Amino acid sequence: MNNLSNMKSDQPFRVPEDYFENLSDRVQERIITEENPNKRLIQVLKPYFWMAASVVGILFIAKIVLINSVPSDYKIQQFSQTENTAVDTQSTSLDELNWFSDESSEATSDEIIEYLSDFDIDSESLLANL
Amino acid sequence: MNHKSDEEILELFRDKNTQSQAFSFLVKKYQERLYWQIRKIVLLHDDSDDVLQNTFVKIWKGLQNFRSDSQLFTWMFRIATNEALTFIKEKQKKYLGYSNNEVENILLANLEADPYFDGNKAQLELQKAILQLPEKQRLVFNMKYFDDLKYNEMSEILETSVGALKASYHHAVKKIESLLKLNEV
Repeated sequence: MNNLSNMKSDQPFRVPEDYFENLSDRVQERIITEENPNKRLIQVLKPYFWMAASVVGILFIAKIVLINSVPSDYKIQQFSQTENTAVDTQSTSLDELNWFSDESSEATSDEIIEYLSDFDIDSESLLANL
Repeated sequence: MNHKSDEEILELFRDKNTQSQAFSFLVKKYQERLYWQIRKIVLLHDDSDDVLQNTFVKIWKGLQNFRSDSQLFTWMFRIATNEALTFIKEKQKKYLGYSNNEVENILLANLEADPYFDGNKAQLELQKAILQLPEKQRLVFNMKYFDDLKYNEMSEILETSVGALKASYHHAVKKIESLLKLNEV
């Protein structure tokens, strides 16, 4: 019994600093989350929203890069091949721009690859324009 | 600081506009006592934190229908105890196939590794001895030895007669003393 009496005064258990200070807030937060399943669902899906937004962002940047880099090469090539007037080249370039910005005719991956290989645009020149 | 009585807190809780504030008063008033009750059963701090939060979520849900015919603290203490015991049983299921001795050693190794436990060898031996008690004796021992709860309070929480609790505590102390003697602490 002596041993037990001695040990009672010296408690070995500790808690992190400020643990009890903010426990109430954490409990309330958890209750709100449990009572609002929609909020809970949003929290679960949040990382996927970010992933989807990143993919859309990357595609948007890629599209901008293609619009800015491809038509200038294309214009030179068109000019040397057909020796058309500047007005014709400009109209061709505008057509290209329209092709890129046309919402109804989204280019497929195959079409983009074909386009890049047709005009000999390699990945280095694409990256240089990023 | 919060000096509100249980009746005042319950009154505030019944009003939707002050419900959240009332619950905050309640958590702050009882968090430490409930935490230590849970901690003595589940031992590790992180586990205790999980169990305590589950306990308060249950209290929040049940408080809407709480009848004042039993004491608020007794009712909450019972929820905390049941949550802790359920947690321990779930944990023990993970060690199905292990002997009791092996499970005790795993639990003690976890306790030793807990950064919020800084007990010496003697205190570890005491925890080891407590782990070897039957569930009811373990609860009674923790509540009496560490928290110094009165037998009539324990009787309400554990729904056991005072006589039976006294007998349980007596057996628990005898068993722990003999285990400590065996290990020469």
